[in-house]
Amino acid sequence: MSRVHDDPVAKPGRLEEPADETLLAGLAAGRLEALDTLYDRYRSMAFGIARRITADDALAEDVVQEAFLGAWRGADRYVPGKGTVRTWLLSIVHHRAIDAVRRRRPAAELPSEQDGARTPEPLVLPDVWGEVAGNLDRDAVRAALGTLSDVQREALELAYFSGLTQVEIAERTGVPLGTVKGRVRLALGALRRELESSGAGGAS
Amino acid sequence: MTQPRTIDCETVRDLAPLYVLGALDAAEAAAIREHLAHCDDVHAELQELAEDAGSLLLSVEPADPPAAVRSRLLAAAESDLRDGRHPSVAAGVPVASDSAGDAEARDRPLPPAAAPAPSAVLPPAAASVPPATPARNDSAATPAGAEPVARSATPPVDLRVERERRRLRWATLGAAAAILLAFALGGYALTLRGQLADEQAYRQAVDQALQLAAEPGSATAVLAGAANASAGLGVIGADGRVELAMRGLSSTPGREVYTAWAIGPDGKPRSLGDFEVGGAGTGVASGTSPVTGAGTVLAVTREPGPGATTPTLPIVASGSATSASG
Ligand SMILES: [Zn+2]
Repeated sequence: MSRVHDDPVAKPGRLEEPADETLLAGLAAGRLEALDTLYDRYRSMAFGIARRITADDALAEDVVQEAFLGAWRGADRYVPGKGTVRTWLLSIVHHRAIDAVRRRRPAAELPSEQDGARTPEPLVLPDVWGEVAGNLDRDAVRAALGTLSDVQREALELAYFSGLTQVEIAERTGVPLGTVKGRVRLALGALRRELESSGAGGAS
Repeated sequence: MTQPRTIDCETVRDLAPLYVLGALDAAEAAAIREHLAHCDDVHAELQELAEDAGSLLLSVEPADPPAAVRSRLLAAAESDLRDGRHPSVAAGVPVASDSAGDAEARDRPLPPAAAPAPSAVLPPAAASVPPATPARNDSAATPAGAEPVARSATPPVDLRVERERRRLRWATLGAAAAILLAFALGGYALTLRGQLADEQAYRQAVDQALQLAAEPGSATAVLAGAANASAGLGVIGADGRVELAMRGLSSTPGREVYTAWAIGPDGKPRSLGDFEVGGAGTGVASGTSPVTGAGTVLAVTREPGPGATTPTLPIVASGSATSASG
């Protein structure tokens, strides 16, 4: 009935939430409760991103579910030195959402591809990810985006949030491929400088 | 199998911004991944660009997904474990005997896919969070930071029993499972704080409660506290058996205990027994209630010593039982 308590390693009073990396270790070990906690922590950001890219609530729900499932199955592929868990996870959401909108588009709109290219592929986890600093917030990034030129911001948003490829972006904006490439490179560089100089990114 | 196009370092650098933004077509992206997998250059510029792109994720307005997404996610993850699709169970933990369905996963040798490059795994951290029912001796014998243990040797758990347990839980609880599971998951932080004994006892109690809840005529109460985060799951069987698992309780110093009560239609509290609470904040109790069925209230009070016959107010947590079926 009663139970003797012995917590040789317990730290009374230490009640902070488990770190993201700890949760990910839990995912790798097959612990549903760690997945549940991680989901709780990032579901809003994940759904926000998925909805922004897909512009379709039902599809965005599937994207979020599949992305967390991908993290669940691939948690041991997260490499701590490469960036935060948050960005790794949200990068999976991003990947998955881009996949989903491309798959959704009618075949006629797809750029010519070899046969079989449309068969569903296994989830590709991001091999690079990261962020300037963990303490960046939405306002800082939006402010930094606001300092870009209109064409740079447009190129960045089409590239990152529309699911369009470089070829499609060039067609849509009526500029050569090389210009698209140059714009996104400049835009990313300007974004970084702005975030660094605004101090939002800290010195890390 | 189509061979990805071969590209050189210069092309990778040229396409890098589009790659990190996800604006390459599938073949181009595959070619870059293929290059990165074999190139001696670490392509640090990719990492930097990925950081810039990653910051864009933060510009998006968050939005809450419907609750159903969580249920579907957890159900899918659960079936991963059941069907051996998750790396932690697909790695071929040896078990004594098994049904045909599980044999496939068990006999599969450690697949290359589940054994990533050493730099990409987290063996010490993962090993400190065993999948289930850890044996304390085993844990002590493999301290974190020791040489990486082969994953197949790590989980000190009888997979067959574990799978049976999970199958039972889901098969019998049906629609109620998602709600009950969501509650059961509340013990997560315990393991992560290293309080394995408490975690084990709590989990066991939740499992017993869930199994009892699956029996005909049982009633389930979710206990909630007023001020703090204390909560619990209590189930009363048709025969009066009670299984109770509580979390979020403050610990009991000295002779103090928590006492569980069942309160029937007559409003008279009957003690179900006492339990102590340690640093993990969990407590478990099982007993027999003279009153059963929906409407029975389960409550927990804090008492100066064991054996209380009337509750000392205030009530720490309580909940009214409802029929568990459906
Ligand atoms: Zn290279």
